Amino acid sequence: MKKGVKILIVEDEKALLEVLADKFRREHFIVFTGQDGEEGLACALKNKPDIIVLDIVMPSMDGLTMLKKVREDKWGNNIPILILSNLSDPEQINEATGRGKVEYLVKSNWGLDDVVQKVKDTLKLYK
Amino acid sequence: MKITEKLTFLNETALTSLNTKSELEIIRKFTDAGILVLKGNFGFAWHRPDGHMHFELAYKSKRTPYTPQTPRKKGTNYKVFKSGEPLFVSNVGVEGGVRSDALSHMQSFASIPMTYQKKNYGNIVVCFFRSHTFSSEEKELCSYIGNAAAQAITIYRLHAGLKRAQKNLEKRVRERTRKLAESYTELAMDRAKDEAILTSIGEGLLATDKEGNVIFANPQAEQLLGWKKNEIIGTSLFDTQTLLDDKGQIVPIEQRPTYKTLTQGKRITTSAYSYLTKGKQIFNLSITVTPVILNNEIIGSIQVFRDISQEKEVDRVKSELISLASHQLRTPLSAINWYTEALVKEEIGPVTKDQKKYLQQIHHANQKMVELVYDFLNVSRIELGTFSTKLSTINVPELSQGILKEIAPLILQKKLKVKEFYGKRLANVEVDKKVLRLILQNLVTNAVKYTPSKGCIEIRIEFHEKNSGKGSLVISVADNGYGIPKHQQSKIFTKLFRADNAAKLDTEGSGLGLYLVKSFVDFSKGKISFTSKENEGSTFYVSLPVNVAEAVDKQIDN
Repeated sequence: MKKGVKILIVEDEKALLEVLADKFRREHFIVFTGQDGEEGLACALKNKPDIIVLDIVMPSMDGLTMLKKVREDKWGNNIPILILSNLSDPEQINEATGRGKVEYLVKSNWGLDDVVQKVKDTLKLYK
Repeated sequence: MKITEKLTFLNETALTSLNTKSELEIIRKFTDAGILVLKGNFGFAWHRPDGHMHFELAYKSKRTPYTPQTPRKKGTNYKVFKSGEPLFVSNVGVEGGVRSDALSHMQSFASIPMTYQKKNYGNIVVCFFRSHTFSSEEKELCSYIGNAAAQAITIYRLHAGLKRAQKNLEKRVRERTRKLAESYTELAMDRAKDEAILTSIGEGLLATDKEGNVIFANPQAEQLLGWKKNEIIGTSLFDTQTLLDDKGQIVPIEQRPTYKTLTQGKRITTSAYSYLTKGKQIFNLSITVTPVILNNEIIGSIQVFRDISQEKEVDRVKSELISLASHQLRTPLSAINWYTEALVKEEIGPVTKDQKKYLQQIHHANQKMVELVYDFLNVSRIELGTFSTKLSTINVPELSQGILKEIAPLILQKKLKVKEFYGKRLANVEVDKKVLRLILQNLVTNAVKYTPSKGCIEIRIEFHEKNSGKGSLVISVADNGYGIPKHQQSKIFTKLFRADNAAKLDTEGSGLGLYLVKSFVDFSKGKISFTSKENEGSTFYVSLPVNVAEAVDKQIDN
């Protein structure tokens, strides 16, 4: 993985956000973070990351709404997004993944290394 | 007294004799009449109601009865009685002084048989203290007397017979009436008892005839259904009672429990339906319908039901709470998972060997917790009914091998031998992946956990086709491990149940695995069974209805 890949992590749970951000920094990503949909959207449009890791259940603006808004942007229309949530309701998963260039991970099933691997695979997949 | 007067008198005697109370009285009347019309001095009669003779002397308005001990079968009067011919004796030749009564002075007599329709009832004897020659007119009168007396007796007997018959009949009617009254009282008491029971039970109760028409409803039924008794009795149960399924759709008549009971004669208990009351209120009900069978024929049904809305609500709230709690637990569990992972892998800095061991324990325990939370979530989904299937096309051997890979460390550690057999056409099976994965994972994990070192496990999956791609996925997972104690085998699919030997071997099990497997199999309309013997092993069999793509795949056999 070449250096300087920009990743935006949007996650309302501080502990999770921190451990993920640290992990990706150790993996030499340039990490941006947001604690809710609004923050995440602003940060995305400003920094134009190569990939967004997105939680769904968040205050002020949830992940699905943010996903929609990102897709409305010309740049964001084409950006790979990895949904990282604990929702395992099939309908909600369908709703989330049915929008192109979206992958899905259930948080508690996966280790940190698995998340990193999935991000790398997704980047490769949608290069 | 002229002859016409005499005849009139005798006719009157005959008429009044019809009102007498006994045969003896009739004979007395005629004896007296005979004495009077023949101008005799006294008289008597032989009466033979039952072969015995009754002798009664009538003299000077005094009567001296005499009944001999034995039937008298000789003498003048007996001859008259037997022959039915009257006897007139004008001079008997006196042997006076022998008897002190009137008979000792008798000089002549007429013995008149009482004969009617060839039946003799006895003789009337009219006696004289003087010798007397009987004129032909007197003889005529005598035969008239005998005949009239016999007729009167005949009528009396007929009448008495009728009276007896009537009395008998009345007695029997009275007896019957009394018995009826008694049984009616008993019946009424039974009925009152039954009604008291039916009224006091907390459940609603409806009885129908074999067509499904309501014939009885207790007050609870009225209260629960919102219908008054007189509004529903006589009407078809299927018209007034609307059942809804769990989706709020009206249940068709042929699927209703009462219909099934009336057509199949089976007792049915279900809590799958809700009831739409007259006031359009909906409540969940638990209902039991029992057929009423008489002489092997279904003659009706009885349904007992109660409102279980509250119980269902409590259950729902409980399951929702578990669901919510489990969701909430996932975030902190993820945090622990990721932080310990980073520490164990020394990404944050070096840790000592002992520290690493401790961190690994935390990580392992956390994983267990994640699994538990998953089980809880699945249980609450099943119980809340929010679980839904999503079919996708699965390569079954790949899925199975993936599960084996996950548990490979434990298999290696226990040096277990694993045999796999996969039948044909398993590469494109249309099935809910989540369901199949949970079933396989639980069965395989159980087999691995409950088999001692160097044991053997065999996984066998085949597709049994019924027609054109439709059929069953038949799975068996066998081990030669600890087995399930016989006395606990019936409980093995019960929620939170753990067999004694399993609980001893593995303290971390939740008792949810096989319950979930059974629930998922049931949900998928599949079947599950097992055979097991303690210390010899267990084999679990599952069959799930699936479709497979038409293409024939190459067999994978390890």
